[in-house]
Amino acid sequence: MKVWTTYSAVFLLGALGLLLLFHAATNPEKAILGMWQETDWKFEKGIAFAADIAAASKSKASQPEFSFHKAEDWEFLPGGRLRLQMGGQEKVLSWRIKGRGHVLQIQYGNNRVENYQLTVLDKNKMVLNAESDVQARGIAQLIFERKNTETYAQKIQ
Amino acid sequence: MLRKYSNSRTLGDNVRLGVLTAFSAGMVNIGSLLLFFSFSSNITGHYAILAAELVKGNLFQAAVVLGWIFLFFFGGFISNMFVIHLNKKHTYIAHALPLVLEIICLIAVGTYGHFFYKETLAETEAMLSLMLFAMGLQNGLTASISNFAVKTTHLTGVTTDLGILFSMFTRSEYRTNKELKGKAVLLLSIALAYLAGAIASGITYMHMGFRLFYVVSLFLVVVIFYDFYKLKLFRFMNTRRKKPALKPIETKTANHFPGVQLKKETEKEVAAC
Repeated sequence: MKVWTTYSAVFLLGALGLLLLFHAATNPEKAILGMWQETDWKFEKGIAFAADIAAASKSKASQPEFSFHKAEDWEFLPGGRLRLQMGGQEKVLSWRIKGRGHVLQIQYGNNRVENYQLTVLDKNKMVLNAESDVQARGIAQLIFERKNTETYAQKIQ
Repeated sequence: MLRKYSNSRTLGDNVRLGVLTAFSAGMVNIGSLLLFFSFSSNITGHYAILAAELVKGNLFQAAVVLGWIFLFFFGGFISNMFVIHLNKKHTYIAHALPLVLEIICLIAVGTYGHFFYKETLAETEAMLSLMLFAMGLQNGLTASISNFAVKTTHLTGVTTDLGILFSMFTRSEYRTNKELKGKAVLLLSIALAYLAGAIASGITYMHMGFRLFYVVSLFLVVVIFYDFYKLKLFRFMNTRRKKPALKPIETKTANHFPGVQLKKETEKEVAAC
């Protein structure tokens, strides 16, 4: 009887600890919501490979695995909608977070999907790693900064 | 596969159990990777990820991984609980129950994923949790009933043991050792079955999506019913032998296929009555 009580207590305490950890942590699905401005994109193996990616992205013959939306605003909306703004044009896509909360999936429709590793996601900064073994010999990194788009009502909350 | 326990198991019992469960584990692991971007049958990597997430201060991810590790552990715990507490009363049921639970978990993932999944993170974590629990159940069962000879959800130990065995085979006295040869056959079978399951999963996923978990469940059903069928047949033959009216009639083939011949002759007798 004593053994069962000890086991139950340990399991309950473990579950409680896990719940507290979840409560203290920020869910990436909530943390990502809002407007993000793409500020930079880097390549792990040096700038020489940027030319490869740019060439692959422009080539119509080979479907690019990733799109690089330089100088874009990305707005993550609730319900998995993503609004991309570039040069006055707007595009609405879908976003999902997968894995343990470390993969950002962008769905373009017609079966085209891009997966990014969510390397950093905090209040002001987001870093996405796009790993490509087809077009680019290396890892591309997209760096974002949060755009302050809070309304007055949101600020005084 | 499931009726025998610990040292009473033959190499054949372990190979059959190892091959079928390793194939299922390979399928589940690659299925979870393709569908949810996370492994579900090998836990070593999750410990490394947990450490990395804690260092980076990603509490949410750390909590998720900690939960998965706990569920894998809990699966093994529950499996062995069934084995050690029910084994004396009914060995087959004690060994089949963890697999039944595993099938329920996998069918739940397949059905929810196919009909209801909206790709939210909470759903993803819940389904991965079920899969890790299922793999813990399977690994706990196979390790427990085979005296730790069969572990089928990850290949680190298997690959290490194979390396050691093949180095031992460079000496002639080990090459002729039946026990070592048997172990090498078992480990190679597990590794190849796991790989085959992983490849099959990749192909099945393209055509079936979440329904690939039904295919995995089918393999586990084979594991359960293989012994169930054997037990039924054994009981059937025993009750026939005990009935005085059903004396075996000696024929030329009786020594080779006593069971089959006995059944045929007794049926003839019943029909004549």
